[in-house]
Amino acid sequence: MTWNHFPIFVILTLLPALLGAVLAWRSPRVSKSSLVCSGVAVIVFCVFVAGLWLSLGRPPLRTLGETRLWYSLFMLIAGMWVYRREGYRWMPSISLVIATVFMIVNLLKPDLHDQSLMPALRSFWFVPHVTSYIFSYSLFGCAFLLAVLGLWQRSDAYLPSADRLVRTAFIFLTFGLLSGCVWAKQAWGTYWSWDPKETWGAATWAAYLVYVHWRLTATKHKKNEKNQQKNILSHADNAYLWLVLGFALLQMCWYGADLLPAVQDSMHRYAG
Amino acid sequence: MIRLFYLLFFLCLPLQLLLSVRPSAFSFPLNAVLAGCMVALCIVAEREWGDSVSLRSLRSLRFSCHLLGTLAFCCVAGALLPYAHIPSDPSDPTSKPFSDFAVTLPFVFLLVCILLQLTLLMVHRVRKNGWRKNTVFLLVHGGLWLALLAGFAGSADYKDLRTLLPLSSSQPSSRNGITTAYDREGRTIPLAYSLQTTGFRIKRSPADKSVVQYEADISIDCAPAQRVAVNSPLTPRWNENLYLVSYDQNNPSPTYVVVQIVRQPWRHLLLAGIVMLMLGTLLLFGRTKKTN
Repeated sequence: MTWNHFPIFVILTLLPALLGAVLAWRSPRVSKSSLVCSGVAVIVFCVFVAGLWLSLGRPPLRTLGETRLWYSLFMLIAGMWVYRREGYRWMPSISLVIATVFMIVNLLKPDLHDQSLMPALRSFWFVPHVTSYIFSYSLFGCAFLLAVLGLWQRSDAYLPSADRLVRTAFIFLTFGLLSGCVWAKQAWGTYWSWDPKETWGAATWAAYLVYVHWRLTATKHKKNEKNQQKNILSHADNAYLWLVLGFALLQMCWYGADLLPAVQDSMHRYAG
Repeated sequence: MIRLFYLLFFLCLPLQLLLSVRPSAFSFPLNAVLAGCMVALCIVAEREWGDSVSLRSLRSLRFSCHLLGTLAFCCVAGALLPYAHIPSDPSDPTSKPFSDFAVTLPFVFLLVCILLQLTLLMVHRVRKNGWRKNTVFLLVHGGLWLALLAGFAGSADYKDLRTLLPLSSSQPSSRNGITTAYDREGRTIPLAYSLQTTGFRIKRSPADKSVVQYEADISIDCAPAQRVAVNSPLTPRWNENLYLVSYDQNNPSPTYVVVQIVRQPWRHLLLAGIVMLMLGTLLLFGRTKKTN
């Protein structure tokens, strides 16, 4: 399996995923057929990723393009999972669109996929650190979609689902952060060096932690009914805005920071 | 309390132009004493004024949100400034005011406030409900507290030294060992042992001949040599790690390697904090799943 097979696998993935998205739209309840189709799409894409891993002889996580590959995969998984748990019929469609966008970017801008892997990346922590981050990004992406919808419709109805998503995603984000700390000590001699990428990562972590704590304040202050209605909307708006901000910081941490001059000396710059 | 926090935080900004924080001024035992005083102060404050408006405000979720939001803001500011991650030398008159933002007054003040709040929260929870009922809470918040404290207070005792070891295939001898290293400012720092290399290997990828690993055999005090490679450091002493960071790359037959000696006495506490935080987060996930 090489990168030359990627276009074929994109088509083989998108077809069942599209069918699954259509079936989800058409069914008033969670459709098992939709989940099966989405599952097939995920399996097909996993086959490509696994084959690429074997042919390269290293985890395909070194370049920005390779991380986009994983994001496409995890976005499909996250969309399927959120649809199953929360029942939003539009979620498979939107997550499919996002996954497709990243696949198309990879088709148009393929990175150099060679077998080289620098010594610092040859560590047990490489795979858990990067994959847990990207999986958390996909879940936060779904939470971002809920936030946008909540802000647009001025409704707090999406907050419980967003809460569940953020709590799960935050655990993977924290694991990614801490595994990075342990790996950094092993490779560079310090758990934390305020490298620009680490700083953006800390900002992202802090922003989502604000959301978690802010949501806990929702049950703390019960005022009279008239004010309560007003407070609930403003509380919800604040919560949604933190999700939007957190997602913006996440994008900066992932690839936006690479465009800044401060990152030129960073040890976290993507290869290729 | 929130207004007071922001007032003091913004007061630190102009003060940063006049003063600078020297982490080395707070090296052991001063950092341990200050940490102990902070904990003792929080325990006494909880006992005496635990139900006061001020302490309840300090422990409040709203204050947590403000602290964490300010942390996010400081990190963004630090990440956007092109020089803010470069370690600064306070004695250098040309260094920019907010370089190395992690040791600026506003950021240090913020970290102190976060540590204070975490301490108060944990003391309050333990006093109110005991240890067992708050296991996950204490793991998560205690882990963060320990990691922050060990990283923050321990930064004063952190030393990053480098030295160059010539490559030699001869047997280790006390005459040939390197016993000094250099810190970031170029000062010579004596080592408590001698270092010698007895072997060096470069592994290349068969596909494109790129370097995939390099490793050296290093003898400490003429003892049998131990292998050190990238991601595989040595531990000569309980508070030190030895890393292989580079080699003579301009020479087809390298003649030296560069090793890094990191002295970090607080690293075990930091690692304990990381483990607690990781474990607490996983337990929280388990509890979240059950709730759902």
